[in-house]
This record gives sequence, C-alpha cells and structure tokens, in this order.
Amino acid sequence: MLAGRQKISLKQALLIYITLFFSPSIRFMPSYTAVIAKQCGYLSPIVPFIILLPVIILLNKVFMKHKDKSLIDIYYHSLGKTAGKALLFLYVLWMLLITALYTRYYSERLVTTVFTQTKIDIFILVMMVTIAYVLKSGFVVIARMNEIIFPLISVIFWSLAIFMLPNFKIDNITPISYLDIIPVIKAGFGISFLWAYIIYILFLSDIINDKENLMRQGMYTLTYLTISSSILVAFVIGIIGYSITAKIPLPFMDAVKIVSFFDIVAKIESVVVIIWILADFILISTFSYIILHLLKSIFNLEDERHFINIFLIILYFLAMLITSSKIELEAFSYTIGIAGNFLLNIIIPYIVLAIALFKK
Amino acid sequence: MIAWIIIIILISSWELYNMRKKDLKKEKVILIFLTLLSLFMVFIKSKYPYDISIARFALDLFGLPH
Repeated sequence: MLAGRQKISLKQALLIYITLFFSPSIRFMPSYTAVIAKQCGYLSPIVPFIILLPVIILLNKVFMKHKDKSLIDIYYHSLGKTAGKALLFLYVLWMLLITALYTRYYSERLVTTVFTQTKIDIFILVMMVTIAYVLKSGFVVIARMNEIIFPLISVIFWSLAIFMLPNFKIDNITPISYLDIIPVIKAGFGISFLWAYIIYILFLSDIINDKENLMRQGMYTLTYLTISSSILVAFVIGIIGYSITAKIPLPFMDAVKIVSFFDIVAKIESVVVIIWILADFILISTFSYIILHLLKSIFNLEDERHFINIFLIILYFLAMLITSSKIELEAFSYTIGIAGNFLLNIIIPYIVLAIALFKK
Repeated sequence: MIAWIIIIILISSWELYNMRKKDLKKEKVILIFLTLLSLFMVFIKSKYPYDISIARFALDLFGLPH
C-alpha cells in the first residue's frame, strides 16, 4: 500500500522510464547506430549500460545517505541553493526544448506515414488537449495509464520481433571484428542519453516511494532496455541491411512493412503507429509534468496546476516554431540534441551525485 | 491570431481568478509572465509563419551544417 495517494511506486516510475524510452529509440537508434557502427550497430546499447550503471550505483548510494531528500533537494544540497536553482532552470529550458522537439517529431511522423494530407498542427493540438486533461488529475493518473500502455507496447514489440524472424538475415549483422570496437563505442556514446532519462524521472523522487530498491530494480530496467534495444537494432539492420537503415528516415517502420508471417499476418505497420502515439503521449505528458514540477521547486510555488493550460499553449507554439523543415529537425537532434542531453543527463549528474556523496 | 489571443486571455483570466481565491501571489506573477510569453509566440508565429526556426538558429550559432 502506498504511503500517500499522490505518490507512485518505484516500479511505476521505472515502467514510465521504459515507455518514454520507446518512441525516441525506435526513431533514432537504428539509423544512428547504422551510420556509425554499421553492421555491428546492435552491439552499441552495451555502452550506455556501462555508462549508466555507475549512475544507478551513485543514485542508490546518495538516496541511502540522504533518505529524506529528493533528487531536486540533492542538487540544492550539492551545489548550494542559488547555483542549484540556476542549474535546474537550465534543465527546465532544455527539457522544454526537447519536449517541443518530441512533440514535433510525433506530428511529423503521423504526417509522413499515415495522414499525408493533414496539417501538422491538428495532431499537436489534439495531443496538447489530451495532456492538459490528464495532467490536471496529477502524475498518479499518468503512472496508472502507463501500467496499461506499457504491457501493450511490450507485447506488440516482442510479437513484432517474432514476426520479423523469418525475414532476418544473419549476413546483414556480420562480420564482427576488433576494428568495430571504436565505432560501436562511438555509437554507444551517442545513444546513451536515452538511458539517462532516468535522471528526469527521478526529479520526481519526492513523489516516488520505495527508492531503497533503486539498485535492484534499476539494474533490471537497464538490462531490459539494453537487451530490447540490441534486439531492435539487430532486427532492423538484419532485415534491411545497415546501408539502407542509415539512409532512410524511419527504418523500423520499413522493417515492419516487410513483415509477413506465413502470409497470415501482414500490413501491421498501423499497429506500430498506434503504440508509437501512446508512447509519445506518455513521453510528452511526463516531461511536461517534470518541467512544471521543477518550476514549482525553483520558485517555491504552492500549486503548479494553474500553469498547465498556458504551459501547453507555449509548448504548442514552441513545437511549431522549433523548425521549418524535417532536415533541420534531424540535424539539430543528431548534433546539439545529443551533446546537450549527454551534458545534462550524464556528465552533470555524475558531478552532482559525486559531490552529494562526499559532502556532509 | 485573434482566436489564439482570446483563448489565452480567457484561460489566464480563469486561472488568475482561481489564484485570487487561494491568494497565490507568486503564482500570479509567473502566470502573467507565461501569458505574455505565449502572446509573444502567437505574434511571432502569425507574423513569420515559415521563417522562424529555433533549430536553424541553434545550428547556425554553433556553426553546424544543415
């Protein structure tokens, strides 16, 4: 039984973490790893596991040391109140930018795959209205919705993996040699920010119960993400080859289009679009909630719910203004997006947590 | 543009009314700031619907190709 009605369990938080990993990973990971690591792209997810494992250990130790503190409080404790607030405000700005980016990607994807004759802003508006309605009810509702959405996404993802098996060509993911080590590490660094979204989730640690289990449950989650991403990349490269994967915008979608399971199951790409929208919904609503939660802490506010509607209007316009073409959008996320995420989600947490561990 | 301005003002007024009942002073200031920001964005989007790109601006700033 949870201590408070407005709190979620660590398991629910980690399930949200896995769900929000899904959408950017299937869009970004196969093509990015195929460009750098070529046929060995599927080995790249091992690198983020190695990078993020110490973060989990550090987080666990810090939470054990400061049992009554949230991650936001730990930032204040490590850096001092003013510097901590300044850094968290930087997180707010960055998260606002990437939430707008993900919102734009969500609508771009729908317009390029299914609704080619529809205006892009319609989908953003629908998403914003839905999120506004859900956010009013608090984060517990999102966590409970995710308890339904996560198994749905998992079942469909693993079913697709099974259906892809007959089209899988082992020649596409071989040979592997020692010459591939450096490209695999390079690609691994590029995708590691996706694993580091756990930091964002843990900004909500004041509403997360049983954080003492972070080490065990965090390890399971990291392992699951590493295995599922390796399988995702292996199947995409194994079916369409690394050279095509590197060139097309949505390689996972194209790999799914090829799927035909003994001529019984075909044309299942529409199912992928559905789970993709569901994952985007969890991603955008969670990030929006985290931004508002950070603002509440930075400005010592009593209630952040009054800002939901106006915040989502700003997010809508930001998603519309973030780019004028998809090429720019991809150029931005492949360069500044990766660098910014790596800095804020991996390097800074390492420093802050290390200070928190040694500071009395 | 007019529709958006009306929507933003209606939402902000409603939230300000709710805040007044709870006597939330800091929240009022932040809401007014966010309202002005959203109105500015409406203006920018209406005036330059296809010219503005934050991604392009950031890429140019760091001298990255696009």
